[in-house]
Amino acid sequence: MTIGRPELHEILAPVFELGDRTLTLTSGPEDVEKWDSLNHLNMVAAIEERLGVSMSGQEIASIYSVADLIAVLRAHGVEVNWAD
Amino acid sequence: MFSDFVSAVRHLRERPPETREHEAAVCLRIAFLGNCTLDHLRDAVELELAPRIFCHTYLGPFGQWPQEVLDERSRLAEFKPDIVVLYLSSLGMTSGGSRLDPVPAADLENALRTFGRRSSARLVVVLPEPLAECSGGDSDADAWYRDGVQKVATIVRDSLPGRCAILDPAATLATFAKGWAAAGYWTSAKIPLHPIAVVTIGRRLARMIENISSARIKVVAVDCDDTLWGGLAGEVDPQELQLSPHDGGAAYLRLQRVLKEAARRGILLVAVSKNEPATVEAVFKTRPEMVLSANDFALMKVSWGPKSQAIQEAAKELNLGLDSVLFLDDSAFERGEVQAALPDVTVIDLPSNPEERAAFVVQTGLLERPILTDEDLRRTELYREERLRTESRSAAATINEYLSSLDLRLTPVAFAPENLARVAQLIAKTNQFNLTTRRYSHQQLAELAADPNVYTHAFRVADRFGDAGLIGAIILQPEEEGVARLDIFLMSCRVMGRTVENAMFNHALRWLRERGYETIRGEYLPTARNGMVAGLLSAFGFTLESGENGHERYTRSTESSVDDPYVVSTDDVVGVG
Repeated sequence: MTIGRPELHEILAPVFELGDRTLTLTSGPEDVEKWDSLNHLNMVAAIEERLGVSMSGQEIASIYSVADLIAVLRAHGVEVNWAD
Repeated sequence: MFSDFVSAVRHLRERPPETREHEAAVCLRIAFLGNCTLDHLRDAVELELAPRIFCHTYLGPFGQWPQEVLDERSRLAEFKPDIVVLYLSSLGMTSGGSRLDPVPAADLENALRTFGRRSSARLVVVLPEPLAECSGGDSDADAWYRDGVQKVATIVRDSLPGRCAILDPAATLATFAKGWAAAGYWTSAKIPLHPIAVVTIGRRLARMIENISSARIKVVAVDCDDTLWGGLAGEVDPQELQLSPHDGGAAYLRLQRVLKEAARRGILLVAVSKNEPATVEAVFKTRPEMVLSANDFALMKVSWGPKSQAIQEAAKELNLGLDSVLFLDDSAFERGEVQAALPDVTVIDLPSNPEERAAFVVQTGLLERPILTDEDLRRTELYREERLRTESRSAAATINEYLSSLDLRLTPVAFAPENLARVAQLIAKTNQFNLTTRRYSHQQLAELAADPNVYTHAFRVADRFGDAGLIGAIILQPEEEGVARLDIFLMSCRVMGRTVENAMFNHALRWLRERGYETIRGEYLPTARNGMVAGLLSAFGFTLESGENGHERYTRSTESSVDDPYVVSTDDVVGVG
């Protein structure tokens, strides 16, 4: 399955209260204000629900940025077309 | 969508609590305790009950429910909850499903009995969830789960009769197929189920809390003929009424059992029947199958007058409002008459099929264990206070005994390549029990660990329930001759309240003494989240030297240790660091 950048944004926007702000590949807990530990899990839950994947504890802990998230998704057969 | 839940919780919290409290009809103080992360459960309950019920909530520190309950000076006790939610997750009791340890039955019982004596709060227990590998067969996991659920439920009911409610998550989880078991959340955050499942259970929990807190129904006015038994008592011989468990009578007996239980929990029963009093009496006397006896009824209103009149009289005699009355009758005519004459009475449409009635009545939730009335509370208050006084000493003994019985073992471990990743994570993520909140990269930590003049130790804690893993770290940096500085002192909140921090500090003190240090400096750098350690250095016997610009500096001699009565064996590995 391949999803575009807008679809990923749509899933993450309500969790991190992004509004119109855009995420970059390096966006992570450091620069996204609402990316705290609880919302980190909320992000994972929202992603799992929408994309039908199930992440391991190690994968959940390995995500420090959007790029890390995309890498985990790739391992589950979900490509994110960031150029979109 | 789950993200809708996240946004809804955020929007709720964006409004000032005072405004929400002001707009709510009811305010409840709800404490959440358990052996797992409870944030989602709390959020779901709070969201579900708003706006009618405003919740002040308290989230107990992870895994510390026994101490919180036993210690009369705990933050739980200070919080003075109306309702305590206790969730003992299976993953929490089995070290993430790795070991099928027995349920801590004695601790649970002890904690709940103490709780029952000391607090007038109601308890809602969420029973352990099935383990993911339960197959419905006779595997060890299945046996553990069935036994665990039964033990917890029995202890709760026996320890707090009439003041507890039980929520079994299994029925809710069954609607999720396998998706509720998501071990990744346990591994990464000690969340025992998929957050979506937690939220669904939270909604059910909220309904239960709503019923408990606003239990309006104090009286059940119940018809007799064709409701408590099959047939008309005035027209047939009592022996011919349908009451035998071997025929259609079982349906009536089931409803009787439901009412009997309600009576036991303090709901008053009133028989409202159009009959001769002697006719009804005869049924109670001559039919041994009856579950309800005449003594279970507060009043017998048996007459030929309208039932609305009988109910009105009963309410008056019992000194209760009509809005506290539930009316059960198989006849639509009688129900209509009562509802029309007494609109405040709750009238439910009993199914015409007697087989369906008992379950129907239970499912309305109207007979959920009611919270004690104000009168009840006042009556019991005095004697409870008196008992508290005489018990405070033995209660203190109880928590001491409990903590001693934990068999706490602290193992200091020098920073080393094999644990540095976990140490780095601990240092990066510990925000609360952390004196300085200094962060170090993996590389910096490796350099500090390699320097023999720097004390770099992490600490592992285990007790008789299992191994909590690496839970704390200390870094001491040498300063001038004979002086060292406490650069980092942090601990996971999971092990608070057990004097583990004292034992950690003692280890550092011993290390300093062995190397001829006489003075230790300490710092407290306050942040928005580390207020819980504001008094830690003073408690350790440090003296405050200066405290300007939110940077408190302390000193202490390295002599004399601090008390760590509950940590029974520190496996000393001094010298390795």
